[in-house]
Amino acid sequence: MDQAFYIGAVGAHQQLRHLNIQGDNVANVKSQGYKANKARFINLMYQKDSRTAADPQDKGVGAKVMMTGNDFSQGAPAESGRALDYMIEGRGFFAVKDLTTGEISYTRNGAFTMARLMRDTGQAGANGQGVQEYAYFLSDGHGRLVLDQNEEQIRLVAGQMEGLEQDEEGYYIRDESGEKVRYYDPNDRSLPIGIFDFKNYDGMTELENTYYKPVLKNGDPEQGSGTLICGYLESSNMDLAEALTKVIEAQRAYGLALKVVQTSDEVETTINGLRG
Amino acid sequence: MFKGFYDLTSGMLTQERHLNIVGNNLVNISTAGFKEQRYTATTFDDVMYSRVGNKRKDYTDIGRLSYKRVTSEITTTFDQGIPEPTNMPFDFAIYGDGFFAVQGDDGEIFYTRSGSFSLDNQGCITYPGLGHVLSADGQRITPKTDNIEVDGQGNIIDAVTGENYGRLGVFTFEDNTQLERDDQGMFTGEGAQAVETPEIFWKYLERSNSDMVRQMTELLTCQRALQSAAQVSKIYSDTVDKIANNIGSM
Repeated sequence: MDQAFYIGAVGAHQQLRHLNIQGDNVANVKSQGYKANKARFINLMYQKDSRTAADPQDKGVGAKVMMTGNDFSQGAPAESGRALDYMIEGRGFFAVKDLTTGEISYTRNGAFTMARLMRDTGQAGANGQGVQEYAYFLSDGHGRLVLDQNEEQIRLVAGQMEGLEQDEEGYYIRDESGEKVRYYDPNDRSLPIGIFDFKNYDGMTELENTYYKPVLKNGDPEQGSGTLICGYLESSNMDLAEALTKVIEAQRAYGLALKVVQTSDEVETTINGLRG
Repeated sequence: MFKGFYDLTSGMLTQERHLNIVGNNLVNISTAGFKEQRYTATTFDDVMYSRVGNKRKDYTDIGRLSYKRVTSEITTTFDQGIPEPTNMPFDFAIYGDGFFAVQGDDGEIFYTRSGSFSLDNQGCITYPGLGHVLSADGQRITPKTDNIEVDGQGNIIDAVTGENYGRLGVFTFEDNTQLERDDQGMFTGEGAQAVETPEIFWKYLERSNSDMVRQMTELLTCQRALQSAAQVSKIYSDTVDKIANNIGSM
């Protein structure tokens, strides 16, 4: 009994979720690399109305958000002129690694910075402890390091570096075993940033700050077909007109659902008033 | 005795059921491929109303009367919903008659107008939580990638290699009104025929075909009808009260 009340209440609640999703989209209109979120609705359980004259009839009991998905289409390039700003034209993601957890996440946001980390030099100091020095890496500005195509961190040349040498491929420092360790000039606008792609983007987990994590069905990362452009950032692919239309739609649908609640409540009042 | 009570009560009950249906139509305004339901009520077969006297036993008919108002049918309207662009690679809308077919894990086939699909872990196109979407020849479609192009007939083509993964199946029925809805809101029925040249909009979803104006009007109508029935039954109650308590003292 009094199902309409709950149909309306659940419907209003789901429209509120829709509003949250669209609100998030609108708020991220200027976020680089943001991919618009879309809500999918599904009708709730259908059940047989057995109190009918002849055959039992099917009737629905509401609606809910079934899933949300990201629209991974290309955002427009926005020129920033900064040497450490990169964008991907075409398919692919930047990969960033969190050094404390070792977790790799993927993003289209290519606003990078130089991060200073303490690094072991491998030499022993006067009191027997290892000597550490500062090293610079390409970072996303949130403590994660950007990876190249071989999933290695990208070392940057900064200031006076001891033992820095140059050959035809660029800068390097020989480590203790004599191997060349590559360093890159942050200003030369051609850092070897890796582009990783997945067979499909469907269902990728959205983390904070426009980062994504692949799930099983996305497959293993492979080399992306997109091209790297320096000095540009990918703007949000959110269509403001569409998002605002959806906000209006959600608002109206919310109102309608609450009308159902109100009507049902008034009916209840009538019924309660039967015994005067 | 007091037949009017039962008549009015049945009126209130059916209006309340009607309210549930209308409420459901209203909240599914955002559900892709939703088809609105209509509620029709009927009365029980009329009965003859006869005069019966103490001595006369000729049962002269003096009128007809129905005791109860009940639900007769809840029908689904299969009107076309408006296709809305979504820009998602696994969104499809059918223009015209027909349904997408979804095969559940136990082999049962469901039909739906909601073309909001996704890929499963094997790379098959699925309806989330229900099963695999079938191609025109009843097979699973396994693109494994979302880098696809889809033509107006629903052929799913790899954007890179040009491989055709199959054509999305669109199935029609002789009589859509014979379809049943299951608990997920999916349609089930027998005798599905694959459409030769369906019209499919890729990156679109069909919106709910709920007509807001109509639903809102119906919501008001049944609310007021219910309140009228309640009012009359109050009056009826007052009348009966008089009969029970006052007649003797007259």
